[in-house]
Amino acid sequence: MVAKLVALYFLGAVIVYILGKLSKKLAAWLTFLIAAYGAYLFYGINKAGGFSETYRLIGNFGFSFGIGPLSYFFGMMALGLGAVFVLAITSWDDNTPTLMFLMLTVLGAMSLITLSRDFVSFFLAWEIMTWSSFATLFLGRGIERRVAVTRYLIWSVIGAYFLLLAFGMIYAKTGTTLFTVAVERMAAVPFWWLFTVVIFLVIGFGVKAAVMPLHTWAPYAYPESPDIFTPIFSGLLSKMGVYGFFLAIFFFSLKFADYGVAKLSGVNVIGYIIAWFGAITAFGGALLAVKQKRAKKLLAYSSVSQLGYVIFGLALGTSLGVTGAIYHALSHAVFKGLLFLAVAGVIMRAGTDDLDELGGLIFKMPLTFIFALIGILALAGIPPTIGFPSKWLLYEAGIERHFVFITAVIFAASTAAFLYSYRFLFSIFLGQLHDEHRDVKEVPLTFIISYLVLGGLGVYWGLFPGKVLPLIENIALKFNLPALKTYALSSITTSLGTFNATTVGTLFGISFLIGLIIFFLTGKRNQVDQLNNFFAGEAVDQIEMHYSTNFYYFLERELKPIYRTSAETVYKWFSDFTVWFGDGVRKLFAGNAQVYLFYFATFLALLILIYWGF
Amino acid sequence: MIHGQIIFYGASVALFVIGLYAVLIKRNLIKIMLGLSLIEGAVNLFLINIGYIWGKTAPILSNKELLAHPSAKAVDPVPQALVLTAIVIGVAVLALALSVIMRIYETHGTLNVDKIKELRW
Amino acid sequence: MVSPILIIAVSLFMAFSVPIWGMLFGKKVEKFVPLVTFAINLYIAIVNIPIALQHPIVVITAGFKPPFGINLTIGPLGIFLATLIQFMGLLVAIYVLSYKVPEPSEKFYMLLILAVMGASGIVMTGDIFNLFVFLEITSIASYSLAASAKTGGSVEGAFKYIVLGSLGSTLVLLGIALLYAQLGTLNMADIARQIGKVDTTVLVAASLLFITGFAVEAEAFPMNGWVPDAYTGAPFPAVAIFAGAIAKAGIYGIARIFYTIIGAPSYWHLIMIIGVLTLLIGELSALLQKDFKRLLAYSSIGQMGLVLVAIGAGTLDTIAGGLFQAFNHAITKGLLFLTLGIVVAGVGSSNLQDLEGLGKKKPYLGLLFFIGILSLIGMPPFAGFWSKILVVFSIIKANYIVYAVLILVGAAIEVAYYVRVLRTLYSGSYRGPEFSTSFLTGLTVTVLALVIIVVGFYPKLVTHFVYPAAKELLGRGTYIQAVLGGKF
Repeated sequence: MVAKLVALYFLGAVIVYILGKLSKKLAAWLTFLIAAYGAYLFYGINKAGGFSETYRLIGNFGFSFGIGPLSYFFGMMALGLGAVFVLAITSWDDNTPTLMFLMLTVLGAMSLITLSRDFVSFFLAWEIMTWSSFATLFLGRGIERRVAVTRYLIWSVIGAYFLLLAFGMIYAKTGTTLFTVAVERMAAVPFWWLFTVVIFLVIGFGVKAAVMPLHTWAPYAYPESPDIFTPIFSGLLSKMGVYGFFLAIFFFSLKFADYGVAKLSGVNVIGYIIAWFGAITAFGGALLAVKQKRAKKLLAYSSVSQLGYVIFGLALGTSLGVTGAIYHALSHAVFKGLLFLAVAGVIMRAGTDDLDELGGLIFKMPLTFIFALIGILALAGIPPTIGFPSKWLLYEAGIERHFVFITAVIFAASTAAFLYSYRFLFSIFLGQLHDEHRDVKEVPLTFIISYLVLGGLGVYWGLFPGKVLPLIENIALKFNLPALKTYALSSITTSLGTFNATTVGTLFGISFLIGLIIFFLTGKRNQVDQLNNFFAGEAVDQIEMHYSTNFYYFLERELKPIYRTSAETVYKWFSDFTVWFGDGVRKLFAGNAQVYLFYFATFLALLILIYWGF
Repeated sequence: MIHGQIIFYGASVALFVIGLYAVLIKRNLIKIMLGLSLIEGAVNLFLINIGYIWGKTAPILSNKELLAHPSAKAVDPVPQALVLTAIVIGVAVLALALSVIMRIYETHGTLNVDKIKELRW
Repeated sequence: MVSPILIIAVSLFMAFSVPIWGMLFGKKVEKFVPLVTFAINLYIAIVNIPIALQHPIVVITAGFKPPFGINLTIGPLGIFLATLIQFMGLLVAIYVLSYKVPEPSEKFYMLLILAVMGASGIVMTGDIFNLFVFLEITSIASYSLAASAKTGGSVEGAFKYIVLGSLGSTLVLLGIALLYAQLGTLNMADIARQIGKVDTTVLVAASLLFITGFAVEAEAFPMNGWVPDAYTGAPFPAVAIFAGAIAKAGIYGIARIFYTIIGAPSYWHLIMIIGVLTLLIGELSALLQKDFKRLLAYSSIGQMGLVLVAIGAGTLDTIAGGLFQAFNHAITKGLLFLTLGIVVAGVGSSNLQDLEGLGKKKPYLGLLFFIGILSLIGMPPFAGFWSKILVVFSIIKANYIVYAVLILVGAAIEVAYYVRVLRTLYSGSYRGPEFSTSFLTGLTVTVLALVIIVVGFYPKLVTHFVYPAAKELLGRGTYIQAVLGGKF
């Protein structure tokens, strides 16, 4: 089974590359077919009731694969949504064979990650995912390539090395690289060892999930990647980080409680602290998104922020928290993918994602607008989209345990999310249409189909949470988490109340209709020329007239002190120090032959002195 | 049987130190190479000395006495062979080094080791 | 059975007969001599692989049995390194068929054959003085190769190499002398057997002398000052041999002396510390380099440090990992240097700024660099991934977690400067002269890239050798028994 998937994706990648040199269109369709077939195969694995395979490759390390509820959820999400994203590449203007090769490689790597059951194959697939996504950064438009490329690779490698250290420690302690066997043998480890391993894993996966303060690569790498790849990058790759995070906290850490770690309202302290990181990420990311002037960068910060929610939920470890987190991971993959895809369409047609230069595209790209709107609704957590149940569950998770402050931060993050969502939507689609965009066309059909699928899922899973929750429940039960609250096809009941999706959805629909009717019945608005404004004689050029330029200037002004603090200063200090140190170290190679001889002689003399006491 | 003479060990150490001095302190490239040669000489002397046994003679099987009882009359031949090889190697390296130094002089115009730092850091 | 001593014999004969072939058949023939030599040698080495893996091959010369005669002892470690060295030699020989070597070219070919022969001799011999002699042969050939470009930088680098190298070799000779003084024998197995009889002070002195002496060839700090300059000054095929064959012989020297002959675990920490220092200093120094060739030289130093740490750690897995890493380093650095050679022959400069955008202009060369760099960083499915993971896991398992962290720090720094290289290659637009890659040079580097990929998919190809080699290093008794017979 694994061999089939590997051959499909990786051989497929090579074939697509070669074919792409001849005909890009054909290769693009083949890419989509491969991605779709791969998702289908993966779906079939679960139907067949799971599997388990082992391969022996080197020394004592064997590869082991298998599938369980968690793997299935994340793998299906990655491959299924991945296939939907890939569909759009068939009409993407800047397609290249290399890009298609890399996309398939990334998808293949993600499938392996979710199926892997041992450290070596997991790490192998993880690294393949790293360099193939890294390579795509060279195919972007090149605005911030330098920073993006450098930060992404260095951060990814640092995260990977933390993972490697943790895996190595586990291997050293337990003598095995298989997940299940290792966990069994970890039963009697000292606490500090367990703590170190978990922290390393958390850091390693946190880098991929772009949790603050490990996130500084994301705002550069996500926008810099080719527009058609960004949905996969932001929507799916980060979820691999979440997947790993889940494994780290629930699989490898056993139960901290067993070691007598303190608990705060039933949540262990370590988890609580990590949850705070999540909350701060959520808030910080949202704040930073507010002041962005480029759509992709705004969405990038938004992704960082949303994953903060997920980390918050996972780290709390309660049933509500975990359910909400996984639900939100899915929801984010769907709506962020949709939004990035919409932006890709806009860039392909209008040529820019600069929010100050866009506007009024609703007239030219109405379908894109509708689906972007659905995406934004989901992002803001408005029913009946998928964003609502997931966020609601997360809020409940915080409230349930009476964590006032942390929940307040999450709430504030959502408020900020409203701000940038509105900015995003308005700046691109509403307002005045710029002259250079008068000839913009709607996105091609395959894009529309992708939008449709994603938007449809976004609403469907929002109206019927009961379709998603059983999957999540399986996951929770597998990891011995407390039983979930009750739910039905379209409602969720927790200890704090019930969310009935149908009721809410219907209410929403009715109010929308009422609004629509009022809008159309109250007659036309006055059409006014954009420049028909009173300026006391001062001549102003068009860009300043754009409603959404400096949209949140007042906010930025008030929040300047907050904006000034940044993890980037710490890292800059770090890298400056390393460079300074390296500069000093290389001066050791003084170029003077006698100096080198001196080193030799001194070293020998030193050694003799040291060993004299032997 | 006393192996080697203390005086030769002392001479060997002295030569080594002098050679080391030349290598580390002298500025002229040729002098540095000479220093290295001295160090090699010191080691060769040391090696020969190991094989030397007071009162015995060269291990060349030329006359009947030696042929009959070689080990009773001859010093240890192995170090002699080693040293012969080492001397030859030393000479070869010295020759090579000197020709390189000549070329350095042609390209850099100086034989001062402090000034030959075109490639550094 | 073809005796492995033919590797040395054939090389010697062919080396000195290069001008004779030139006289007989015309100058054009000369450049084929290294190719023929290494092809024959590689064949001999491969033929002996199955035998050596079973039981160390002991070749007795001149009819004198050990411990009196000089013998070759070729176990798994020896045959592995010998094959690797001949393979690198063969690839460089193919490369120079098309790459212009410095005049007089027949001397260059001779030196090439001699250098490789010396390195093979080092890994195959069973006599410690013979080791010294081969070390000197290799060194002299390398000194000359380093100086062969005859430019200012070339001779400067060569001079530094000469002084450090001869000082190192002399100290090795002194160490041999000390051991001989105590034990009266020069045979490695015999010394190993009787090592207990050596006075501790003398043993300590000899060990330190050996470490520092071989460290020059093995590019360990602080004896590696010559590396950046010699590598920068030497012609590219020579550098490929330095990195690919000769440095490995230096590592072999250290490993053989410390595991088999002296067998003293107390020095392993010293070797590990030297290794870590070398690694960190090498990687840090590479961080700011503007010249690609010099950057690769520093990177080479760093990798050698990594190999030293792994080999010094003393368990089966770490030694196997270290040897695997050495193999990967030889192949990958060979790939990078030879590809850079192609580029520099066309562009005229190895300065990174002049190479900006080259990856986009010449995608195949760019791909080769990409593969080499990814393998060095340790990305799958390339060979470097396996060696890195093996080294890190086994070092943590051997309870040296601090070293593992330092290794990863070094690796992270390595990523930092290689990402700069990749960025330069793939951004901007190339403004240099147009050039083309000849078939043969392209073939050589393609073969190297393929080896990296194949080993990446089937690491068993290499672990098949390195595990028995590691076992051989750890099992002194077997070694002694194989050479001297009888019970140990």
